[in-house]
Amino acid sequence: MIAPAGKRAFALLFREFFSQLFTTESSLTDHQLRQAMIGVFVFVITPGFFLPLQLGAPMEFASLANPALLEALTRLLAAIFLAYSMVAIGVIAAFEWDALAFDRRDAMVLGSLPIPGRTVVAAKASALGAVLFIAAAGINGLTAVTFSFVATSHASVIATARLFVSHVVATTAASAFVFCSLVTIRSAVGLFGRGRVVIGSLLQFALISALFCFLIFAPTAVRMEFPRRGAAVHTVGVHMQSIPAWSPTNWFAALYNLLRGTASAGEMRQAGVALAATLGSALAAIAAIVAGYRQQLRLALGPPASTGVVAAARIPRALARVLAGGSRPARAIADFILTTLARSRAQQAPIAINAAIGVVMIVLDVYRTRGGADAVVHLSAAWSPLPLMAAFWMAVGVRASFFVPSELRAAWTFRVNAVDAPGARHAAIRAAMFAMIVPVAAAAALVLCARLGWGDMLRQATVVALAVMVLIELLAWSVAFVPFTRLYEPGHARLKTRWPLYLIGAYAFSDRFVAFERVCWAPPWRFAALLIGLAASVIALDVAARRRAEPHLSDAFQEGLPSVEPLSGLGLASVTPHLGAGG
Amino acid sequence: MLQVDRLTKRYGALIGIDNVSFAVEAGEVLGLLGPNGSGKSTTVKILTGLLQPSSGAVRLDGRDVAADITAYKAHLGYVPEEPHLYSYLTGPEYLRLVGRLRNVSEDRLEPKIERFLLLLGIWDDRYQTLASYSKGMRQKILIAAAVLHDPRLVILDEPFSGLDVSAARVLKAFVRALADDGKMVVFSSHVLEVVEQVCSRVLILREGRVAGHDSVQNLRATLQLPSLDAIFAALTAEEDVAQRSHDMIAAMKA
Repeated sequence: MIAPAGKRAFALLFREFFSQLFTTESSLTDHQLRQAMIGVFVFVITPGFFLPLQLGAPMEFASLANPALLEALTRLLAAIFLAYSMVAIGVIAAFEWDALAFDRRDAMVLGSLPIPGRTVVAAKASALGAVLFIAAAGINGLTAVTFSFVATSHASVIATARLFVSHVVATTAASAFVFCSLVTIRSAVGLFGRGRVVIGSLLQFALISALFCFLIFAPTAVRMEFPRRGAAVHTVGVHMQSIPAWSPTNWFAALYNLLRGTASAGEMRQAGVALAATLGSALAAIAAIVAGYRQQLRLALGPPASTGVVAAARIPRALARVLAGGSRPARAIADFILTTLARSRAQQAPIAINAAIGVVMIVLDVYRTRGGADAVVHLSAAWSPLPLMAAFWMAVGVRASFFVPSELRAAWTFRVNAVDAPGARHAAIRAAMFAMIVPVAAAAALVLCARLGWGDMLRQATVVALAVMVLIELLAWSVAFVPFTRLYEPGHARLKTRWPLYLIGAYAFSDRFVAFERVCWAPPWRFAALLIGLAASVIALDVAARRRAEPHLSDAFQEGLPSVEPLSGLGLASVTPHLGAGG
Repeated sequence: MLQVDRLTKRYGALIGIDNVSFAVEAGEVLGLLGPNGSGKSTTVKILTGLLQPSSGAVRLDGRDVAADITAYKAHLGYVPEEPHLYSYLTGPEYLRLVGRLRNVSEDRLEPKIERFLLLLGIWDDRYQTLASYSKGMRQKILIAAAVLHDPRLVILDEPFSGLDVSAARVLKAFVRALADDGKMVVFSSHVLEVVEQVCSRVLILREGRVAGHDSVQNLRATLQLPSLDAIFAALTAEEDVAQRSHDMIAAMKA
């Protein structure tokens, strides 16, 4: 076959790289993929529709009652939209993490074809640019239309158009800055070979947490206090949050104001910084893509470089081996679970997402109980449900990850070799979850209870550890297979209907349990009864689960090995079974 | 002894294998031959417990393995056709996983893994993940994993796939040595020369049925054909190879 050349090669590669952004190693049918993509996109852009409406009331009030406030409000809300644009594009980039740079397979396939390197790099950069453009248009287009009408409701069409253009240009520049920076980081990480998986998941966790927090706290940026009926003073109080001086949002806010024609001298300079940052990040991303392709070509043509000691999760693995008891298969499965969680991004994604939800609930809890956004940054507390809240969402995330298949075709290893797995499987699952979550929760309890003194710190840490163990026993009960080795049944999670249960569970396990614990704290016999009750629950649940454990022969393996189709880029997973035809 | 008695597997309306019967004695290597779609993989998957037959039985020492599939699997070592492994594990980590699942004690497992890595020439690659292994290196890991627990029955499905010449020579001798050690060996392959050299008897499948089952010498004598290649072509009604290659050249030039 003659390889395509010139423009045709560019077009082919562009389409291929573009589609790579929507594929994954462990995923689903086209239909489910589209559903998932639409779901994520809707999740990210919907706030853009509602934010201008939510924040429109103060604008309307200002335009009617106090026009002097209008400019200050416009500036603040513009900064909020810029922050939203940056966080939302960051979430999308984090979901596309693996496809943001070349990998060894790209180089192995393309390196042998008669296609110039510049065509390959141009196609990759164009595909990434197309994704940026589509995502930025979706995220910022809605906010631009609604906000430009809201903010200029009593002004001319020209003013509305100018605000629209300012909004689109500034928010798109901010999106491009974040997206290009993440592409640069991804390519740089790829150059060194290590840490790609972990950094991707950490970024995903951080950006989703940021997005959730942003969505919750953005409406509180402007707070209005109306006088009570009959009050002596008839003034309306308007409270506005300030943007920290160090934030890059200020650069792009300055650009926004420059384009609107309201920039001060200082903002002119900052607008220049915004343009330089956008251009610089784009150039850095292109340079990183070029360097990444060259590096992957070197790796592809030479012998595979030693990866050294890869991510090992040594401490949790050692702990899990102890907790798994004397059964060698249980130790093997616990080791396998923790190694997979340490190295495979598909499994890290649900943990990152659930941990992000946990962070948001913790922030909300702190905000609610201490009554202000400033309290969020002062997390230290004498006695708190926060370790239990964090453990709850971590445990839910780890359990969710068990349902994401990992290299499903390799699951034959367990079907053929796990000769006495049923009891071992449960022991392994609980040991792995204990090893991952209990020490973190107990350590958090120790730190947060530091003011209580050593005795109470240890008491609190013990209660937290035992409570988390009960939770893990309950969750492990519902996993009747070796994690990561089963076909995902589409819709199994039923999140559309079950999400209130998770929220209620989190509330009951953290706030309500701590309230109960306080009741049991004294006298000592009551506290001892609490500990004995928790420990007995752990033992009873474990014994019951081991008795219940039965051999799990996957239905898929009754009719042949499943085929895993490379689709989706969302860290979600499913597979389509097919008959194991062959010789 | 492993006995396979009138094994049939249906996939809905499709018949994977139909009434397949054979036996493997201790110290014997049975070659499993057949063109693509003949039922070799289905037979192997049933023998390994990955598939359940629609009818018929597999017996080990006279006992139906379905009665206690777990006990049967403890005697089994398996090298699959495709080297599907957990690519994020290193070679030793994968072998440790299999060894522990097979209940091999830690004090025996680590020295065994080290010896296999050295003997198979992958010691220097022990810190690399399986993702960076070549197909031949993965195949070596699979072979080591299959015999790590000293099984009685070894099932090898295309074990030479991806191996270099010297590794293939070692493996051929190893298969014979397994039989000499009293193991039952089922050897499925498309490489007729290797089967001829290694196997005591061959079972030739065609469209899910047994087309021939005997030692290579007996088949030669019965069919009066000079080689296993000719016997295979005769029993599987293979089409005109020269004509097919001619047609492929024509398609290439079109």
